[in-house]
Amino acid sequence: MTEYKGRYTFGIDYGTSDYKYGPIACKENPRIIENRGYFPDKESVMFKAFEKPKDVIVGEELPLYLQASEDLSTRLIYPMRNGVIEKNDERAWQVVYEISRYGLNAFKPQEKDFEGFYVVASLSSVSPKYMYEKLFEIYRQINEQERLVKAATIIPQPFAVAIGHGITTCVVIESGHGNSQLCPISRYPIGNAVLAINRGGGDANALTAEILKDLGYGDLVQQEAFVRRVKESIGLIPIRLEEAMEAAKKNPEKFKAKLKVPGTRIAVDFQENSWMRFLIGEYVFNPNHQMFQSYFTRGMRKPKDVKIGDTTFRGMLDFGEAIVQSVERCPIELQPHLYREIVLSGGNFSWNLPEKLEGIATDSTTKIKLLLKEKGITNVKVTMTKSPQLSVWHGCIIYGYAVPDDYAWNWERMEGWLKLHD
Amino acid sequence: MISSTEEKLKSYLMSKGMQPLPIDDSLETKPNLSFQEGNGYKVFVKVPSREELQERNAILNLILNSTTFRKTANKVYLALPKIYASIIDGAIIQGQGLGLIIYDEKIIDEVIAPKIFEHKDSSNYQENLAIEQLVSRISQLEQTVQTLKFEISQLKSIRPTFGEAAKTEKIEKIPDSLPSFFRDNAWLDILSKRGREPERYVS
Repeated sequence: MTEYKGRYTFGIDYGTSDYKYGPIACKENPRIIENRGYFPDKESVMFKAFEKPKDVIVGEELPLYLQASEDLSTRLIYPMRNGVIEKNDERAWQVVYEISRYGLNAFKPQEKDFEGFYVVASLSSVSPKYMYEKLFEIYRQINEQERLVKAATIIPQPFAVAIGHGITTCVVIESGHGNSQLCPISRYPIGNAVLAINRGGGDANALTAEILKDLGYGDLVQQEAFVRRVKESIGLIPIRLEEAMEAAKKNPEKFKAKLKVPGTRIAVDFQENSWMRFLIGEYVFNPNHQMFQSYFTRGMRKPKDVKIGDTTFRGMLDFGEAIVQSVERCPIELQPHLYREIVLSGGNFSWNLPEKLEGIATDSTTKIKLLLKEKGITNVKVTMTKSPQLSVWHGCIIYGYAVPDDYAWNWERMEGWLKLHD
Repeated sequence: MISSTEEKLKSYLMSKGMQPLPIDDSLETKPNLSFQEGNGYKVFVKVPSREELQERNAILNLILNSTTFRKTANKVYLALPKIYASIIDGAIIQGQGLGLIIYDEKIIDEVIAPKIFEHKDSSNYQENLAIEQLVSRISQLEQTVQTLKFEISQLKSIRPTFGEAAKTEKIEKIPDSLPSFFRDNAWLDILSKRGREPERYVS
């Protein structure tokens, strides 16, 4: 059976923005498409003339079907945007069905011994039980059409990160576009210590857009891809925000921030306001500094506490406090070991650190250590996953390969294989 | 008249938390009113009629008759018009363990509290109550033990595992064809034991 799983283990990471999928044969790199589906206007004359109408379109060809931009918000659905899909959100579940079938079909082997994949799917750690039930049901439905799934299992994304990273006792912080999740792990995910934060890369984009408006680039902020590019190129994490701003104000030349978009006339120059670069990075880790208050007052969306499904996503909790709160829900003897292995994962932790600015700016791992030091936690080791974008998928593949075939799914443990056919 | 008095007495005793009971037909001498207290005690009340009170030695007869209720009831009251209060010797009533309630047009009052007579039934009731309480406590303890067992198994399953992976031998050789992230991954050994571990790890 190990030999069979060595060929037909299939990993799926249902991320907030991207859907990463592929069998173990993909080696290091799965395929990646955007985790979204498009519901075309089937009454469109153009659509009727050229295509047999489909209910929902997913995959790489999706952009070719996009119609008028004004109704994109209702027709283009990102089902996992918050990590949680409402039970009755039929459109979102339809996208999950289509994108799951699309992924499995894309790698359907021709070999005669193929009896279906051992599918390991990964969902947000705050996904409620009904999402597991729905996803298993989707795999059953797919199997009724075509035998693509022999057995399926679902694991939380931070658990997959820990597996992919190879650490068995740690705290994983996964920070994506829409939100962040913290999950302590010691062989198993420690479910009652999971903490969700309603703040992710999208919020740093929002602040970058406000800064760009203040600097006179208001006409460019409608394009989120451009704003994101500015954030990634110019944003910096300060060691200490006030000191960094002061240093940058005294010596703007040293901290100058410019971005020229290749092949266009678009250029952004922060000039004497280069100190604002530090606001972007600080906001990701700690949005409570008084500097951000003026942006909230002027209408920037403040990350709020929201209840999605059964989980409350905290808006303004800084990452240091979040780690402490999560770890303190674990047994006392385990806590020091958890602080000693904090693993950061997700695109929201990838930040530039120009060599000449070391001492003023820093990276994500050091920033987390500093936030914990403020709380009195010093014996800390923080690491970034080796592949922030792919570690969940790597974890899925290892899990699928290693977990014995006869370890049956159990709803209390939320682990094991759900066999869909013999 | 009696009926109206009995109604008033009934209301009075109900206001003290007693619940009316039907009169047991099998009793040789029947009380006028019968109640049960919250603790299960049976209370009988004898309310003599005007005719009964006019007899010679009426009060003495009443007391003697009422003492027979002590076999069945846990508390026995004698209810008399207020004007009789001055002519009766409270010590006799008290000596027999009876209670005395006096009444007139305006008031109803308990002037002598009755003694409690324990009976076999009542003590059975008390015993049953005690057993029920014990059963309930044992059941609570069992639940607590179950919860603690579950929590202990949870704690064991999440105990620190650092270094342990290094101590255990890998159960099989990882094929070279597998992706590089399989190399030296401590989870391979742990995950391959899922379902084969001692119960403490999986519960």
